[in-house]
Amino acid sequence: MSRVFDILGQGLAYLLFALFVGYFANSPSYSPFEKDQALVRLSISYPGQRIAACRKLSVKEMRKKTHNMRRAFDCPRERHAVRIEVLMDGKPFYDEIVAPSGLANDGKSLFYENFSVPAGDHMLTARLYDNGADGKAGFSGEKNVQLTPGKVAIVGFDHRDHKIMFR
Amino acid sequence: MLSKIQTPLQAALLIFEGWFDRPLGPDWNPLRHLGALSFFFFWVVVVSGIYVYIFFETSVGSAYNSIERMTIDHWYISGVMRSFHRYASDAMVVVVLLHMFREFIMDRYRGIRWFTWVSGIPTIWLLYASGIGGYWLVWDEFAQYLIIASSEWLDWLGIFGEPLANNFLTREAFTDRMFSLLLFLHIAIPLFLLIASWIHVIKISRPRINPPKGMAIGTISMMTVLSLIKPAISDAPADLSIVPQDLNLDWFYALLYPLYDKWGAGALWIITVGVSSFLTILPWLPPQKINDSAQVDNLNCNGCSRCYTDCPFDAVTMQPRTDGRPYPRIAEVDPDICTACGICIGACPTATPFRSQDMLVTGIDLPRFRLTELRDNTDKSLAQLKEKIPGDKPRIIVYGCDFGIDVKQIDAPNVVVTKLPCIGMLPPSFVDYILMRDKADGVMLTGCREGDCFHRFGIQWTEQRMAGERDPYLRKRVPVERVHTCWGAVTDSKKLHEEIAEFEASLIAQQPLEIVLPEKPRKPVADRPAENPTREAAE
Repeated sequence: MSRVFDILGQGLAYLLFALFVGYFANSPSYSPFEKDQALVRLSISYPGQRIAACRKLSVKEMRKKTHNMRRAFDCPRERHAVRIEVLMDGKPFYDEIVAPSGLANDGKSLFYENFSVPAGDHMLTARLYDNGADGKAGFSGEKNVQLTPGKVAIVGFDHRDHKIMFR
Repeated sequence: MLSKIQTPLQAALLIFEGWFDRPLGPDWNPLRHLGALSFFFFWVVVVSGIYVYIFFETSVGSAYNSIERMTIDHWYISGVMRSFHRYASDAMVVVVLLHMFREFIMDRYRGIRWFTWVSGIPTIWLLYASGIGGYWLVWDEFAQYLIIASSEWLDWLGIFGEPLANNFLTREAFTDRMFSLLLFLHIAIPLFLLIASWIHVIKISRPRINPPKGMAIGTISMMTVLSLIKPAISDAPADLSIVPQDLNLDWFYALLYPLYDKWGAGALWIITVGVSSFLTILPWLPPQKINDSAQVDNLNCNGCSRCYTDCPFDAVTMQPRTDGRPYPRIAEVDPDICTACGICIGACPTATPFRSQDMLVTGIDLPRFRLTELRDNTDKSLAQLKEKIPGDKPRIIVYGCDFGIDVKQIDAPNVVVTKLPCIGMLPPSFVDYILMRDKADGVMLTGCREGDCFHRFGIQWTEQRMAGERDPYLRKRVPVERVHTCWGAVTDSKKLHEEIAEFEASLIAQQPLEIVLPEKPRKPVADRPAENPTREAAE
């Protein structure tokens, strides 16, 4: 009789483990996003302009360098930080300045942000300033987007056509 | 501080384990085989993964459909294998985490076990990376959610030239080339996991990496039934133009993702790295106090290698002899990995209480608890037993260790107790010594629960020695029915009393011993012949 109970107990132990694994393997469900919202994803990687333009070296300056290091121009690597401003329906909701990446501050400025916004029609405006934060916008773009609940709108930069793009 | 947490948790765990012991027995109790089950599930994942890979199409556009075909059209084999792949991965997370918590609760992560503990932490990271990487390949909404959140989490570090998440902005941005890279990662990371698991057990003598056959069969049967009743399925196909909603999360792998949604990448890095760092330094909070390691007595060690064979932590090695004695090898103890459990002394053929010297000197001994002290303690305990009177209860001596069933609670005039670091320290000759010199009617050996010896092999070696299956053997003249074993945890006091009563009844039913050896006077230390004579001198 105790053998029967042992077997039943073993079955129960395996059953409990199977129920535990089987249930939590895909339950309970999870909603990472509110149902009446849409998402605006800003993803732009853009290099700011160089802080200083290339300068032609004089003959005297070139002679000071070893043969293998001689170049006609001295081009400082540092770039300006890039500022991006995003407006929705004319109201600003993102305005950040990001320093260039890289140890020598010569890389791209990387922007990646997600914004949860109410679903509906929205006018998105984006401006990119690449010549110092206080300079004039290097690029700007505007688009009316229809965002149904759960839809993703991407604000990016089209490096081929050199313009801000909306998808 | 930590012991205040451990003690109540340990009591709860032992009670919980006890419930499993009843139907499953100690051999099949999964809580005693969590490490072995982790390996077992890993191999199930590997085998099922290889099978699934045969039918898997490695491109963004067709991966999802190929998995759907397996799940729906070939549910009876490919679908089952897919479910095996998923459920075994999930089960592996469960047993690995339980294994970690159990080792912590049972205080088996400090001292020389620090390496095994610390090496287990990157193993958990690799396990999660393997599992999460596998989910990406299904390329359903859950995969989409996981891969974007994972990329954003990694991008927070700022170490990538371009954000990884840019690869998953649009369907066009996510290329087949990238998908192949993800597949490569899902093969490479589990290989690293295997290497990490090997490193994890590298410092353990005879690691248990395979569960008992019955448990393996039971586990596979359970998974087969689960796979048929509730097969693993996909969410809707991924669509990068929408945000997935109502996800069927695998909570074993994705538990931290809702935290990421709520608190962001920085907080999640602080949590994961913080917890990992805390776990890494845990073995030294505070460090375990270990008694002085075992020491080899050169003149008494004949290089028989029994201590080397029985050491549960590979702390004993056999080295070429350089002292001119006529034995080729000598034992050497690595003090950094010796736990001072004394199992080597229980294995040493020179460790016999019959020796006539007042001061026992053995081939290997513990400086803080020498065998001579164990013999003295035994003699003192036995002296407390009254002279045998017909009709009285039988006289019993109980040996108990520091970690198993609590023998201190025994309070009976006919039962005395002697403690030692581990029951494996007791040489079988002690049983011979007690019974054949009629110092007691029965010897009871106690320790931790079966399959759960704190020093790993104390119970196993003791049982084998007493059964005449392991050297040094209990001599055949000793009636084994006068030797009783009782394995249990500190919470098993009821069992201890029951077993003592049962043993008493069995001893009463037995005939008196026929052979009784006379007691011999011991020689004081000063009268000992040339200390540790060489073989030539002895001849």
